[in-house]
Amino acid sequence: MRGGHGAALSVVLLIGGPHVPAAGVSPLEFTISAPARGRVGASVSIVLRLHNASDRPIEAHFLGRTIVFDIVAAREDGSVAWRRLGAKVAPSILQIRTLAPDETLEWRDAWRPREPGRYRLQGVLPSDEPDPRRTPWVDVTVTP
Amino acid sequence: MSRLNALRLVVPAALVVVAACQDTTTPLAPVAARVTPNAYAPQQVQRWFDLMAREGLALPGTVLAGYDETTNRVVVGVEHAAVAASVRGLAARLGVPAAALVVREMEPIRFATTLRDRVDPRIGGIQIHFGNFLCSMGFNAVDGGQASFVTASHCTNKQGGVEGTVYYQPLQSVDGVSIGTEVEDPVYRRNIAGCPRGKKCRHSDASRAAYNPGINSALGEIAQTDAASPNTGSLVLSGSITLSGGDLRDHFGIGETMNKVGRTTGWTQGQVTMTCATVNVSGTNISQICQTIVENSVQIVGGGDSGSPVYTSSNALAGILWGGNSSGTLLVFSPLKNVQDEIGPLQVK
Repeated sequence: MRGGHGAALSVVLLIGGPHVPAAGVSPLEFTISAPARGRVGASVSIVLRLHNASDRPIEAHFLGRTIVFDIVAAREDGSVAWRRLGAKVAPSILQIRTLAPDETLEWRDAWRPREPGRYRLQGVLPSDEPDPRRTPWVDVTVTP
Repeated sequence: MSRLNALRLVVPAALVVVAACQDTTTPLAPVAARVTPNAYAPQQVQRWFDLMAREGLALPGTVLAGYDETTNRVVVGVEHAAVAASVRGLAARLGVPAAALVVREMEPIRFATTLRDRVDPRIGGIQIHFGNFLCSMGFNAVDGGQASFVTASHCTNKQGGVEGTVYYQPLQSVDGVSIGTEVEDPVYRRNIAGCPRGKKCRHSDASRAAYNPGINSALGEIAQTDAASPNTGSLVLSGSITLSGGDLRDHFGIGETMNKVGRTTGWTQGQVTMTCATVNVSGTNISQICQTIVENSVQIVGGGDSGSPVYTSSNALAGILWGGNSSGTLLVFSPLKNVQDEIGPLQVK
């Protein structure tokens, strides 16, 4: 607490629930798998995985009685070509789930592209955090 | 910049403090006669501060110790006058001159209570727990003389039908005494007017739980956060809002402002964009008939907000929140009228 001279200081009480992971150090790995190439009108199979890479149980929060997941397909310019959930309305219930060490949760869906082009895919897991858990983007090239 | 900004603070280990570079308008040090900065060398006063922080804060009833660079004095905060005498006595024994010490009474610093903490008496908008799920308490109600709370129908062990869901607040692991038990949750039916083909329907996603004996609840009160404006995300509880009553419309005005308070996104606000809409519930074969849609350009709902009370600008209870879109910018609530049509008359204040 004893900082440099003239340092602005104030007292702030911590808020928030007990399950807030420190930024960037979550032992839960959220990944997406999809083929690098697809064809217009053909299904592109997408798999999302949430893996507890640690040696201890990890409690996580998820939206939905059945866990709600989203997938976004974006064009090169960033515009959204497809979103799995779209404008659907889901119950805002929160599920508490503990992942055992090395346990993996998996979700699957398919996207049927309508136009050729280069796309990027990302998986999204909503919870009670302001920003949902997101996978890295993966590239998919769709040919006619 | 306030006086606090020139203070170096140390508080007892039992208290939680985070340093941050921000201004505050709350002065901690009194505006008193200044000691000539040259009366004591600042390094000497800082050594006294170290002493008082180490030894003084070991005394019961102390709140904080600080070095005020603007007055070149040590500041010790205490909860009451009796502690002040102990602090002055200790300072004298440690060789800290009285002129270099300011002792002032102040409120103890506590953990801020949030909507996710144990709140007693129970009020609308706070976290409730059942099974492996979290929701928000809607509102307190008396039904046939029975003290109760209303939450979402899907915030029960099984949506539709009474299974005696047992609720805890905020978590069973925090308080193992259950607060209430589900007593009403009408079943969903196919053959009711307005129900889409192949769907099961109701007019409200609402259920009622009876409080267990010995559980305190405040009828007509819903949680108020410390946010000065809606949609800030603050979950810190500052008190409660007293409902002005129940709003028994099932059609609301397009553009009408609606508020809600819930354990995930706190106090949020948006405008009615659709009224009396039939809404399919994603991932189920359920449709809710005559629901109200509220939207904003920012997040107003999140996972765990199910069951939250929705209220008008005049603090009239308008209904129960049960769902939202994936980005959280749209929420859906069941009007209180529909809740009462299905559960029965409820005294809400």
